[in-house]
Amino acid sequence: MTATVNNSPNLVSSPPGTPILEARGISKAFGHVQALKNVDFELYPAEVVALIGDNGAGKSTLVKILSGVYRKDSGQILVEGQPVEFHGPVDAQRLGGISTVYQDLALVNVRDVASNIYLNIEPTRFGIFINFKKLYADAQEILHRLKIDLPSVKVNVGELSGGQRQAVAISRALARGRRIFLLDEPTAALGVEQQDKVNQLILDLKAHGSTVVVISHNLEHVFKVADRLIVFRRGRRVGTRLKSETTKEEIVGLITGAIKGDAVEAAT
Amino acid sequence: MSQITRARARFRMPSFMHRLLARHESAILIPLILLVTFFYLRNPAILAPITITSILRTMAFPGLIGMGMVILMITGEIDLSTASVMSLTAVFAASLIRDAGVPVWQASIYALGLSLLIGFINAVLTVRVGVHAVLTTLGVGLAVRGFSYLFANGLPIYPLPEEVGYLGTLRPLGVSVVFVLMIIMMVIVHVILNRTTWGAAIFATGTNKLAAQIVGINTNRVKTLAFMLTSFLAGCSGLLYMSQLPLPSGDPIIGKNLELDIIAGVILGGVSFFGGRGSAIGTLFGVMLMQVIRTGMVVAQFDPYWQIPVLGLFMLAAASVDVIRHRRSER
Ligand SMILES: Nc1ncnc2c1ncn2[C@@H]1O[C@H](COP(=O)(O)OP(=O)(O)OP(=O)(O)O)[C@@H](O)[C@H]1O
Ligand SMILES: [Mg+2]
Repeated sequence: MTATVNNSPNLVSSPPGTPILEARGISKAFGHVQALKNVDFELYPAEVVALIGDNGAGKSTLVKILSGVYRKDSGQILVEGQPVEFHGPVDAQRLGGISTVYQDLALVNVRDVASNIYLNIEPTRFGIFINFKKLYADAQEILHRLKIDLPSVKVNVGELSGGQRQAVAISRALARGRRIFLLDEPTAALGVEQQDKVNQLILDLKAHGSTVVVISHNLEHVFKVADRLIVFRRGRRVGTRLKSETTKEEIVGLITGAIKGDAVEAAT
Repeated sequence: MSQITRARARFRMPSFMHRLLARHESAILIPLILLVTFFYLRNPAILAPITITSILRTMAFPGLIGMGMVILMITGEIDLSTASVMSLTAVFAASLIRDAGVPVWQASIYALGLSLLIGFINAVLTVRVGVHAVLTTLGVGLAVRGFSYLFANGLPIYPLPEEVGYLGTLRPLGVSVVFVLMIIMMVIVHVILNRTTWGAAIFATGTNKLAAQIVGINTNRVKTLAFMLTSFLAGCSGLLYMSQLPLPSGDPIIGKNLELDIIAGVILGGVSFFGGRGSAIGTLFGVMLMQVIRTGMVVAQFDPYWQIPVLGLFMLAAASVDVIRHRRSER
């Protein structure tokens, strides 16, 4: 099946080589809601892929399956061509090198910035006592590298603005791995200036060899950072385009269904 | 327009008030001092050394259990069965000693094992089966209390060998063994919550389950251990309570009405019903406040029937502060 797709005109939409992460025929239902229907997905080294689609199209669900939060109903996940099972987010991190920033951020509001970034991987003394000095220094360094200004790494996350919280969530992902980043609407809560920062960060990550998946409703941004665009509609993948070969009009058409999805993909 | 201004003004509290609300363990010192002053004005005997010792001796039981409860409640769960566990461990140990001739130390270990088992059952029903902790532990508590009465045929189990009362006669720090245990546990729990990776896992579990899970914290295990610790401390409390009785006996009535002191004390001490908030030091003061009210009302010669309603009102006040604070943090 993969072979047919690769021989099809769709070939132009995929970089050559083995995907570092691949999903085949993923389906997921929540009760009567079929959130994903037989979805294929592939990621190549050092690319930025945008997942786009209307509300409820299934983007977050796919991200949560790839990051081990949800279990798929059927389908297969492969890392470097090898089939794997993710029994939880830690598996996805360890086996797939996947770090995720969730749409709802999932932060511990009552703890400070540094403790959130290093939650469960805190530097310790004697394996149990948190080494706060190192914790704060490390956190400072990560934020510095992201060029993020926070009042202090010791301030509780619950007291931060939306953009600052987003920064903490991204830093937490960054502290755990550098291979693949899944960013679910990373700019949704941000002001213009901080949106630009996140976009720059995505490009920086790519420049350092990371692969980034970014979900966004903002086509402006998507066209700024993405190499490939994958469009979802009602739980199906309806189109894949290289940025260099598509237009916003075409993408909008795919999102709304005004343009019929690619036969190869829509039929699966 | 004027409405908007008014709404804004309401949120702009004086900053010291703000800070007091944020750090509950200091906030609780104010009512504590006010109450002691109030009782002192009615009868200075409240500050007599013997009264203070009595307060410390009595509060040590709910205090010791509270040091487990604070962890449990930070993870977002609660245990209403602890007072019953006190009763059953005492009765069980007493019956092993008197009826089966088991040595005292061995019987104590079995009884503590039983308390751990009850904590584990609470955890399984709550965490695995998914029954709300209030219902689980209420049900388990009733069953445990019932077993205790059945086991003892409704009567105190005695006579017991003199060793049973040994720990109860000791007066370390001029108070009691339970009190010292409570202080030690307070220090340990304080360090765990504030200085260790366990503490980070405990707060994460109670604040944002998804956050805990995505970084690989096993929230079910955290909660299970918290349930077991709480129940274990209740077991210790039960045994030491028996030891401290004038005539040590396995009395099924042990721990009766103590639920209120434990839960209310912990909530007064700043633990949140919504999880994610609480401290060991606050818990100490919360439990102390409950006992000051109890003892103070006796010393100041109020009608004893006022005790429970007054304690209930204090708990409601603390719970209201908790809800208000929770809403503010939700914004
Ligand atoms: N935990 C859940 N329980 C029940 N239904 C869910 C759950 N998560 C997602 N769904 C449903 O699955 C469908 C896909 O949701 P998903 O969150 O993946 O969409 P999305 O593409 O991320 O949308 P948005 O752009 O609004 O974030 C929706 O119909 C949603 O209601
Ligand atoms: Mg989404």
